[in-house]
Amino acid sequence: MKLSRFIQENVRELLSEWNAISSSYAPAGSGASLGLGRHAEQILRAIAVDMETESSPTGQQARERARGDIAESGSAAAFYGAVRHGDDLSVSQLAADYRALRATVLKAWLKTGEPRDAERSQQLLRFNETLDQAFGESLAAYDAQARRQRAKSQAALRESEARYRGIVTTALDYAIFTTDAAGIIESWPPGAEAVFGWTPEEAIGQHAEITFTEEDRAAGVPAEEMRVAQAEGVAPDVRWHACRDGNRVFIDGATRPLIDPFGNTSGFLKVGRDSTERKHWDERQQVLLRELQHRTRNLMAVVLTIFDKTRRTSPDIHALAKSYTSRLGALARVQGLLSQLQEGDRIAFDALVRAELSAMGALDDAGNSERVELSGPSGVYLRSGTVQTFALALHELATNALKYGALAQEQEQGRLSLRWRAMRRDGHPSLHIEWTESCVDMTRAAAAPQGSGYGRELIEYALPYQLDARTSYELGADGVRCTIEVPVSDATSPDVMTHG
Amino acid sequence: MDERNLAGCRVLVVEDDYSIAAALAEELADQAAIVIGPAPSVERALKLVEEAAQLDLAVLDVNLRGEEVYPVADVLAKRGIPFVLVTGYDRHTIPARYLQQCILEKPVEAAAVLAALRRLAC
Repeated sequence: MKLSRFIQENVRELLSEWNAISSSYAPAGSGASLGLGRHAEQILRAIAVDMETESSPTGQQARERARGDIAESGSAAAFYGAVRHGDDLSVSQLAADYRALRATVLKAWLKTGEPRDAERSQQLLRFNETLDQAFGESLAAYDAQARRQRAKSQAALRESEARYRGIVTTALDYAIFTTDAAGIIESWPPGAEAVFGWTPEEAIGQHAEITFTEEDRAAGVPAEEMRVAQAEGVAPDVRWHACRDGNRVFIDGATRPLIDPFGNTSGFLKVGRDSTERKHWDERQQVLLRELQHRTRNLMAVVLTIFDKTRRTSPDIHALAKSYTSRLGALARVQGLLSQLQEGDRIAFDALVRAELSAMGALDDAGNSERVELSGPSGVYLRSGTVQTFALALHELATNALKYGALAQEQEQGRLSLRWRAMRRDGHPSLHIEWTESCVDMTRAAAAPQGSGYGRELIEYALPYQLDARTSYELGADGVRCTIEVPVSDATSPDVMTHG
Repeated sequence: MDERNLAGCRVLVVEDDYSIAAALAEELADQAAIVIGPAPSVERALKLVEEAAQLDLAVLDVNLRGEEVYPVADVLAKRGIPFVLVTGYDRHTIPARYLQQCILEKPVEAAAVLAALRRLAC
């Protein structure tokens, strides 16, 4: 039987045998098992047709017609080559496909007992020729496909490189740079320049150490960081760093090793965010938190000692409750005033006086009273650390005035004059205060029960002790006279909130 | 535990809040201790230490009008005078060299300060 006819008649058997061979080296799920059989069948049939038509002009026409029926554009062989490329098969595997096809067909045909004559040789030759032709077409298609894919992936690579470059060059608040395996800076994008200040010309070629502080360099931090990055895959880099201009910048970032295709560390990638502002803010928060805690604890200590003091001078528990509640009220008002302050604000003396006298009922809602004369400049600011003791002293003076002195109910004639002025003592700003009660019937005031001593103690001892104040306190012929001269806040000097 | 009597002990009191200082001085006086001070500032405390020929114990408030008391503590440590630190802050804000000292956190009762002083006096 002619080989071409043999192929036509036994296509399916030949293909199944060939498939068994070729699928043994093709990856699972690839074309070999997914309908490639149809293309293979077309190749085989095309070869048979090619063998029939030889090279006569009419044969050529018939061949083209036949092939056109089989595969509209290009040939089945070309298609096969492209598909095999898509399967990730190498060229030699494609060649093996054809070797297997050749062996399968010839083995089966020779088994039919074809006589060993010139005709057989002729047909073998022709078969090999057309098979090689098909192989050539497959190979060309395979190659074209490979070229297309390479071009595509190169374009994709260029695009992704451009995209990454775009990210790296626009992230100006991120310091991103790379070093070689020894820590020598290799790339220095604009973000790194923006954060650290060195230009690429200055930075590239230097050791990444230049971005570390002197203390960290001395402590071996740069080398340790590279060691950890290499061992763990990442090393946190969250610390103060050095800038070109000598300033420091707080970086929150990490160092990672760059691994080459052979698994070796070819360098390091450092990515960090400039969080200096946030760091400062955090530190400020910490300070505020500490101060708040400190003030609270101190306040509790003051509350305890005031209680003790009040207990010692109270004749009974009712008197204790009354005085203590009143003193706590004064303390609470000061805390209220202090907590309303914005950073850097102070409390003015006149505001403190009015708040205290109003709260005690010595002034009406509009802040006036027939029996009280207030006179002095507004806006003389007290040092924050002095306000509490000052307020307690004022509270005691007012309490005594209301109970037994110029503002007491039975002292209808009594008057209180409170005058103050700003002055300087030894070159420092201070506040001079005169608290003068008058027209008080001292014979009735003298009958005052014990308990009035705390105010006097505060003024005579506490204010000088705690506030460097100069004070005087005397019982005049017609009422209490008290002077207080206390250093006050200088608008230009830093305010000290704390004490205790 | 056998706690020594504070009677006759010369105790420096450094505390900037008058009422706390006064209350503590009073408690110490009740124990027949001799109060040196109280001092409201580092400057004043250093002067008292310098002038005092004999000092047995000290109570130091850590924060004095925004100043830290450590210069006083350093002088006392050099002279081998035991002291109690009282602070309105957390313990961890105390420098490491003083962490072996007796540290009390505010608010603290006078009785606790006296007990600490007695232990140091042993």
